[in-house]
Amino acid sequence: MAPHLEIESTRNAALAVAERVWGWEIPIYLFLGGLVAGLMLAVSTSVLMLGRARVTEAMRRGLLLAPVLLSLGMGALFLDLTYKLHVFRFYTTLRATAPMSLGSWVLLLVYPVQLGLVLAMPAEILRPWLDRVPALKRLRVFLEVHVRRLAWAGLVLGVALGVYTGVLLSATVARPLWSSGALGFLFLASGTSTGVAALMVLERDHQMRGIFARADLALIALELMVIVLWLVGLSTQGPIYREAAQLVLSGPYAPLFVGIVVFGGLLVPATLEALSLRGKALHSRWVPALVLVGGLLLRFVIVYAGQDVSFVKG
Amino acid sequence: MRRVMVIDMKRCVGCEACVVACKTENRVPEGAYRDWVVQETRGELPALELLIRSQRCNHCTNAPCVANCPTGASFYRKDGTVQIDRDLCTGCRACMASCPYDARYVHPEGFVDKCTLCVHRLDKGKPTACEEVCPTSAILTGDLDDPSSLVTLRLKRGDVSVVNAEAGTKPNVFYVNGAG
Repeated sequence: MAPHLEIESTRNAALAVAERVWGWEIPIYLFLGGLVAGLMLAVSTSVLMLGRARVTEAMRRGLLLAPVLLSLGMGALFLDLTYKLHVFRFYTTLRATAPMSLGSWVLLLVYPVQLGLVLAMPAEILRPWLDRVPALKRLRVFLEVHVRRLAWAGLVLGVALGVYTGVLLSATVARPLWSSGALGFLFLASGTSTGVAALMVLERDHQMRGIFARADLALIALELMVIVLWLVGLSTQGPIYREAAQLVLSGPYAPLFVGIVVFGGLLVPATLEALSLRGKALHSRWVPALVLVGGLLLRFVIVYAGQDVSFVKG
Repeated sequence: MRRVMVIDMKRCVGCEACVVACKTENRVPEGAYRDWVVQETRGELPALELLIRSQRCNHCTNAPCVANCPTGASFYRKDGTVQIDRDLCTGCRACMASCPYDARYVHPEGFVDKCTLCVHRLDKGKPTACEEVCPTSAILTGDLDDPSSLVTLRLKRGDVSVVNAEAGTKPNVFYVNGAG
């Protein structure tokens, strides 16, 4: 039998501990940031590998959607600040050791590159507007010439944005569930997967949808591998880390994590995508929708569960 | 200069005078604490062991709150203590998520706050508020770089530990172990 241990603290009697530091705003931001990174990576890769001519209307719409989604995510981040008047302080310094500082600057670089990509490959809905303004038309022609450079920038910034959303958590020392370098890769793989899934929802071209399905299948396989590495790593580190891993494997978050994130958001869509690629099932928008829901819940589970286990005793 | 605190668990009686003194001296808002007292009971009757610790920010040498602060609001002072510049704080709470001691809280005005080791008092040659009121002299603050300081001499005698050493942050609040 384990020896009896009872801990009482001044703070237990009051209100201070037990509250989560970060609420719903952070997982929403991490999801939207990852999704936008995924959209940038998917379109940039398509431009570099297949050429600008193969960029479909769905991809152009995805590009147009990216800055809107990113702004929504940054809006959630702003809501999370408790000292909102000081938000400009993020841009009065650059701190190499703080992922949040690096991320703030990455976000600032992402917008002009996204704008460049949108203008170089405008969606149907945008074209009449662009043609009306001569300066924008000239800018569009200029950007079309440099579209590969823009795609390279999109690729680099997409990776930075995707990895940063995970590193933001893993850089904190205090939460054992987040104490893993695997989180950066996990969030990058998951973000890219959700970006590709969003394009699959928008895509009407059958051949392109097949290419996306193949890419998503590979990304889901990668994501599953990183999840295994992350949890095995934690389980072999020590008691507190094992306790953290158990939270998502057999504890209160297990139904969400194992049931919806891993099974419903990764294994089921991967199986259906594999079947549709072999012609044994129809491509359905429900499949990428499952990936998107799984990606969102993955971030909620990791952010919430991560704050439920800490080193603090009392 | 490297300011540290040594708390003698053999002397501490858990009266919480340190908590009250800190709240008064630093005008800590209702519901928040810069220091608090933890009572740890171990073992089986009749062989019970009671450890009482007055806890606070550990002013870590390798402080993740400082490393993760995106604006430089959390910083190391020249005396080694970890401080917060309210004017730079955005209330993003990356520091709170990074602290293995949960030593920080959000002040009702929006900025993040915590123990300052009463440097405003130490700079004037006074002891910290908690040290001054401790009825059993369980709390001691001093300069670890000064070989003749009481904290240096006490730490040299050994039998001290730190809280949550596994977090690897090199805390600067040391505890003289209680009766084992």
